[in-house]
Amino acid sequence: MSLTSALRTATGSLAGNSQHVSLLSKNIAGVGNPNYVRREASISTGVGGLQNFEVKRYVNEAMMRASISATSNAEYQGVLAGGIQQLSVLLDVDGFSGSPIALLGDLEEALQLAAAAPSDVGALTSVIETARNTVNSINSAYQESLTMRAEADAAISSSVNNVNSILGKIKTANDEIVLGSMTNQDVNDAMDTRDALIAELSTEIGISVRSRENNDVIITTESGLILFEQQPRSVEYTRQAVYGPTTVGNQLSIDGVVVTGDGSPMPISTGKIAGNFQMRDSVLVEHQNQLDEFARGLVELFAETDQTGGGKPALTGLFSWSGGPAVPTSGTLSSGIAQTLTINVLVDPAQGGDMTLIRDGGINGDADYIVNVAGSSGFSDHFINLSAKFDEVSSFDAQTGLMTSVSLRTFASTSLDWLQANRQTSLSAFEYQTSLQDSYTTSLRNEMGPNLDDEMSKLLEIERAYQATAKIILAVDQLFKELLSVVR
Amino acid sequence: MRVGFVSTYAMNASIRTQTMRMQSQLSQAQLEVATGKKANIGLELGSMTSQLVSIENQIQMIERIQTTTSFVTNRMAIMQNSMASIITSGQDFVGQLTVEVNGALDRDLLEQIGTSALDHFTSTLNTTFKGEYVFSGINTDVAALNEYDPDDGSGSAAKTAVIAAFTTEFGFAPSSPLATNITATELETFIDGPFADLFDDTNWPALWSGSSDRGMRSKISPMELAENPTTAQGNVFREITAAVILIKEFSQTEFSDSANSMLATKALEGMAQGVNNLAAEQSKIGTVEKRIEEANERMEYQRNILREQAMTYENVDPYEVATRLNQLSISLEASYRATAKLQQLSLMNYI
Repeated sequence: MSLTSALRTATGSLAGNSQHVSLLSKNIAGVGNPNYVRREASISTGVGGLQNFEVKRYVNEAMMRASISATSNAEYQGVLAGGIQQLSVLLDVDGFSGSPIALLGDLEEALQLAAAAPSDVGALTSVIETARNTVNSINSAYQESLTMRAEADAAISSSVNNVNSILGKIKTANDEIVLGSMTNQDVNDAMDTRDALIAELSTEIGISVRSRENNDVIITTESGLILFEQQPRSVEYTRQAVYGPTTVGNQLSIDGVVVTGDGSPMPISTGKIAGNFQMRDSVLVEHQNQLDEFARGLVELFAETDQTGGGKPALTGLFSWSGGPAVPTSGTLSSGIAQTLTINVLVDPAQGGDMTLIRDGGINGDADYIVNVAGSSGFSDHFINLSAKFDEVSSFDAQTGLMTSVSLRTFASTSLDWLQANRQTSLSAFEYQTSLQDSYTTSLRNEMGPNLDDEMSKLLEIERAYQATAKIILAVDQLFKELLSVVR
Repeated sequence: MRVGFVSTYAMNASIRTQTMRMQSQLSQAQLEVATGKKANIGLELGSMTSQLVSIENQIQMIERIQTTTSFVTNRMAIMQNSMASIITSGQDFVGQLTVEVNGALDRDLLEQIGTSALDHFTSTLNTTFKGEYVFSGINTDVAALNEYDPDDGSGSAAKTAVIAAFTTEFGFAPSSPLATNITATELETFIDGPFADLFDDTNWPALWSGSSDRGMRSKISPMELAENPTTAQGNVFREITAAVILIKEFSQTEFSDSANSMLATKALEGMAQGVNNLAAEQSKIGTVEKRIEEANERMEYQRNILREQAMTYENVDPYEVATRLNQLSISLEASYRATAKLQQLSLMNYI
């Protein structure tokens, strides 16, 4: 040991201290940044007292993977829950007054009033107006459903753009990391950026991440299709701007492989994109089919039949549609009928129709269909028979996802139940996934983020060490001074 | 990893999200306290939502039936009143004719009795309610009894038919002085024969009344139908009309005293029988009125049960919500306090 080596050690320590301070200041600066991962110094003393200073980025890979998957799940459920919520809010106003079952109830009431006063213009008008309200509600609910499909499509399209731009940014960050790691530079900041980008990517699409040498990563979809490997793969989607009753939206493909829809070999199932596909192609289509079947059920229920037993086909009654006066085939989905459902022009006084025809029958001008043969103004039988039909079993298409052989009333109420049950399930799944994601994120941040107090106390330590080192230098300097004065 | 390591960001963020969650719960609880109903019924009931909606539909339907049966009961009450009034005037008619039969048989007086009875009968049978002829069954827009001798002198099919029947029977018009040769027996044959035929099932609807033979049918409860049993097609109204027309039309015909007495007696008997049968008609309507009343009581009972059922679906327990609200505000306050304290707590303050 010599004074010179003591001095060298002290200088080395000073250098180490200043490096450590710069690290701490970086950590302190990162206190407010959710994506910042805490760095830790590992200091070892090398040959001749030289300090070896190494920076470690404190990352928990397993927890990060779990967090990414929880995020994708939560986003998926979030889209579903939000969409179904939006659907049911449309009906939920004022005690579900817009739901098919409530509309049926209103119609039944109006029929009852008309049955009690068949010659009363007010009572007949109330039947017409209730029917008009029903038609408007069904038309607008259907339109809303189509609009929501177009919105889901637009959301998919913007998600795809976002995915492509994130993948581009990941490439930049990844290149920097790989190059830096090969040349042994500090790549921690770039890794923070890349982790943040990966987390953002996981909101759009379910992914899994694997690392390779030199901190390189491969990103695949959860089904195993490569999204990023040194280069981003192309994610392609063509937007469908307008949705009609039978429009089928386009599918998403990655690197030429279709990843959505029933025929996909490697389907994606989580993230916003999958959520919007589920909304667009499943939930909303089913909802649409149910509205169609309800509208068709209404046309069928109010249809008039040949009273003479001559076997002529049924014709549209109070409600009509684009294919009127023919009545759509029973039990078969007639796509878009909810959109074209109208009040029969022939009974609508606003369009020059005669509303007493709803009491007497023979709306379409064929005398064989007249129920009130004597033309009595107090004839209530037809109204009473119509309201009895609300509970008669008829058949519905299986594409609604509901029961097929029920009364229109039961059909309408199961349709409401279907929606509310979906709403309940999706919202509770969303809440569960969100809290899961929250708890992962919280523990991830707890583990990886810096603690201000911790950093400050370390700073105090270094300050002390710095003071001590300075003292050593001073002491060595004194010793040298003593020694030199002796020599002189 | 170090056990129990807490990053400053996560600590602050978790306080923020907790506070937010509590605030949203608080606003929901506030809504429930204010309305007494669940804040989000569809979400709460899920696949049972339609039960609530159909209960509410049923309640509305019952209320609607209750209002509409009031039309029916009003209509029936008016019919009861009218029939009571016909009975009274019929009894007067019988009384007056009895006096005449036993006395002078003054032609002018007889005509007056006939005219006033017919006017009263016609106007009462043609009573309307909300613009509908109550005695016309389902032909609510047609008069129950056509005017026999309109004031404008235009005559009526019925009057023409009566005179024609007389002329066919005796070979001269009722106004002819030859009528004095008609015997009481001949007159009786006419009254029971050709005259009575004018009121049979074919001639009555054709000449006298535009009413239907079916009464209006109405729903009196969700499952029950009731038909109004009385229309102007009923026999009782024909009997009364026939009696009144006899006096109205033939009082000025120059019958012999014995024939004239026969005329008055026939009219008197017909009216007496009509008045009797009208009481039976009243009790028929009364039976339906009773049914409606009972149905109403049942529906009221049903409605209360449904109301209670709906309440169990949508109402919240006020004590439970109040307690929840209280607890939430306490924890929210605690959370605010903790946030403030934590923000102050930093090593920075001590160095």
